[in-house]
Amino acid sequence: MNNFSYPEKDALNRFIAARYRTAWLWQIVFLFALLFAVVSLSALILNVADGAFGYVAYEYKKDPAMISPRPLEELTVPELLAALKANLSAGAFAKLDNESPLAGRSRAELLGLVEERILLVKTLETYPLFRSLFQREQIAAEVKEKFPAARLEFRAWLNAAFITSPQSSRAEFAGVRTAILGSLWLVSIAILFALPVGVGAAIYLQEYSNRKSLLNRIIQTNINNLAGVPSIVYGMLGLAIFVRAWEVFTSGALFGVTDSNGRTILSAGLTMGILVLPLMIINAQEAIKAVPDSIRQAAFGVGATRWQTIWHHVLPGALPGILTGSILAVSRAIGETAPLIIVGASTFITFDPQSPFTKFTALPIQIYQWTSRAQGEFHAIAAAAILVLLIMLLSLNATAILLRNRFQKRM
Amino acid sequence: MNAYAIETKNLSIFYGQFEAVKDVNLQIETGKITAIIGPSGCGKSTLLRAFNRMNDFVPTSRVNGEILLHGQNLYSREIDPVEVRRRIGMVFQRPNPFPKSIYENISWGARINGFKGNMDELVEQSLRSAALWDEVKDKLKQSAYALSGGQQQRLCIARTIAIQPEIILMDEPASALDPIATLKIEELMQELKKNYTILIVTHNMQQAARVSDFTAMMMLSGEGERSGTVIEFDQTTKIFTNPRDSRTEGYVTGRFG
Amino acid sequence: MEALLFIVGVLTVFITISIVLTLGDQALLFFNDPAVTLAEFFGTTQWQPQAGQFGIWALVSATLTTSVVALLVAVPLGLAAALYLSEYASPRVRDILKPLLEVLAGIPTVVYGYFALLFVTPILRTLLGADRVGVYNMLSAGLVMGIMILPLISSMSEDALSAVPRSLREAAYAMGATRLEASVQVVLPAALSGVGAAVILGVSRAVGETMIVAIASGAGPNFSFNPLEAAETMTGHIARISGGDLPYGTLDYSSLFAIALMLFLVTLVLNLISQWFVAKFREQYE
Repeated sequence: MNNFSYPEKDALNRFIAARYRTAWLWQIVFLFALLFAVVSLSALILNVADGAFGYVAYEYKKDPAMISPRPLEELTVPELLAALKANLSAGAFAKLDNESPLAGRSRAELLGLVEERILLVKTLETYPLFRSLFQREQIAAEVKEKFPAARLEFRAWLNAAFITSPQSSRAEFAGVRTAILGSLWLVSIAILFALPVGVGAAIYLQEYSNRKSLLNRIIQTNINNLAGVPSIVYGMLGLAIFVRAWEVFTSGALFGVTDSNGRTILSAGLTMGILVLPLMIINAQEAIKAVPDSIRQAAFGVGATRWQTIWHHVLPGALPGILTGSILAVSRAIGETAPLIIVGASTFITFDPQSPFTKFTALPIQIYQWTSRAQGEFHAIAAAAILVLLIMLLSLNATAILLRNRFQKRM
Repeated sequence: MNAYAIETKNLSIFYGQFEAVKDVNLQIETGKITAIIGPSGCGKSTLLRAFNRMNDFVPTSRVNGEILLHGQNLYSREIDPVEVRRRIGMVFQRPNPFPKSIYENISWGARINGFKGNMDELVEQSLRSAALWDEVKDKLKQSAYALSGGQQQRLCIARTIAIQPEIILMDEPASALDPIATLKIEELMQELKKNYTILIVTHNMQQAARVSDFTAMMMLSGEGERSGTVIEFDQTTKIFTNPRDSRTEGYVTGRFG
Repeated sequence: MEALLFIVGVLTVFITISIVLTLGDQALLFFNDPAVTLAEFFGTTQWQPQAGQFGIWALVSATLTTSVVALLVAVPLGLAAALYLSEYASPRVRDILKPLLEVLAGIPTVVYGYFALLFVTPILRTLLGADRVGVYNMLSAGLVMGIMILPLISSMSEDALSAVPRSLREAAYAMGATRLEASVQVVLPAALSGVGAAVILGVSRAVGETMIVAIASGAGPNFSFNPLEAAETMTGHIARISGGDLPYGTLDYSSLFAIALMLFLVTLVLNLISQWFVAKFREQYE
């Protein structure tokens, strides 16, 4: 083999240089793909922030001067109360007072009521955050031309009132209180179901069953498959089983609740529980697997039964992993929307959910509904609700990371 | 130009602050087999991997001194590691064929290195040189993983010689093989040294004695030291029959190591 | 105790069985209805329950179109990102970028829907012309779905790439390969079954995704493969119809279960193939 047919000397140098150029080009392409993901994430978050804050052009149907010559913002609580009393019918006033004593409400709440019920505020146009920041004059000019009577105000759609107010058919006064409570109920029921069942199944698969047996393999494959079933299919399952077949139970009729059908928090919570169950089992299995065998052998060595070994040694060791897994399951459940639509989350709920047998709404359902509306002010509150949801998710994940780091150090 | 295929001058290899190999001076003769022996952990593989700059992939690694190929330092700025590896091939401890067909295992390296010529011929010649042709000529399209361990290792040798290196580095090439496969590799090495200079790291002193012309004895450079160095370098017969260093004698006679 | 644990252990199997039974039960009702034939269901392209037309292709076309768009985004970009993370990135860069991808993977799909409708669609309409791109269109939904699936593909592919033994990379470098040649021509083919598993799981995710298409791709079945048009996917249709107060026992109601059954079977087959790929990959390197 003496016929060297490889590039040599200058040809070799040129050849290697050309290969490095190709390599460099592709490295940039690969990096670009990663940057694309980062840019998308930033665009998504900025887009939401862009929608949740900004100028609003609005007008009052009634002139605020009829309440007081001074600007509304300067009015005190008693003055606002007086204005409400003077301008509302006695029945309407009593009804508001009944919901929650008016004298005990905050100034911001009362101001909102005055705007909503007496002045009949109407949003004309909303402007996104970045335009509001950088094109202030242009917006002002535009508003002046299009709506000469309008007032222009910078508004944070995500504010305290938004968190604490119940649903409303008018975007300006709508809040996510009922939705947040609905989501919390839902997630609690889901975890109450999925945690014990998931951990139990994981214990059975890891500690009791023969890992090579056919049954174990079937269950394992099945769990992996369930983890990949589209969430909407779980919704259909929940609709057919919890909402319809088990209506007596899920509507609460069995427990003497009479004013409800199967489309309750309980149905939705159980559906969500089944949805996160595979995730729960897989995580719990990993956590149990990570407990070293030496611990089991030591426990067996001093005469512990299998269950004693699991309860006293394996589970405590696996606990951090199981907790982290549960948090991940919660964050999955809290953002799931499709199954809730199917099992019939109502969108217009103005009262706090009181029991598992009530109708409910949830944060992602609100986001979906508001996003689907045509008016800009609904998109703005959708963005605000997304921020609430993202903040909840972020704190959940931060907790999971903290938990993981803390226990990792100890091990 | 001198008669040596490759030589090192005051070569030291560092991982971060740790000096793994210290002050090595070797002159490797062309067309001979040179063995590097010594107890485990004395830096044999590290030294071998310096010759084709495989240590570059360890982020903290660093080299002092020179390795000269035709008088040119392999670590100088003018020479690229890709070119170094084209000229100095390597066979690893465990057979590591690519998950491709037997044919592609050989053609791949040739293709990326710009081979211009008849590929079928090159594949056949390389396989013949590696004494594998008769065993695989009817199944060139099959996966290399279907071969036995010994065959896989000869395939790895074949793909190395396909890129026409001047020097072949072998890092314990037979340690994962059974005695018969080992014998075949050793016979093959005797054939190969007609065209190539071979540097082999081995744990197995009998093997070093059987196959090599020269032997470099490596050891930790002193009591409590963690750096390895070459304590003796000579003709293999001398190292095994009449070593100058008492530590070499102790090692080759099996008193320690 | 063991008996109790056994029961929860096999509960998951019962979940699968009840999915099949409930979906199958209603789907059977649907197909047994004199107004519906299997030939019509699988062979025609009009889905208008009011008119008694049940041609699933009207919905499948949109599912296919959005999924193809999504995969055109997610597969090349996800793979490229995985290659960068596993073969190029320094540990520090990896420590920063990987959590960001995890964040992307953890964002609820309804948020992606908002993003598609109110960010991507307006951009598309500006770029391609508002007369050609509707307020609802499959392109926007598909693109955003691609962004949603990208982290799944990149993280699974990266796992597969990282699992390729170092000895193969060393072999490639020792032959004089550049990093690109080693990554793309040796490591990537060696990880192919793992990458295949990721891609197939990505397909399954795209087919089953609901909220993005429900929000951004349009309401109303439309047999079309033109991504600039609005059309309703299988999932989007189920979500829209069941979102209203659908009376039980009607043909409309049971038709949803027939669609869901198809969805379930398709994703089941995809998931099984994906798992088979993973098993094959493990066999190769463990």
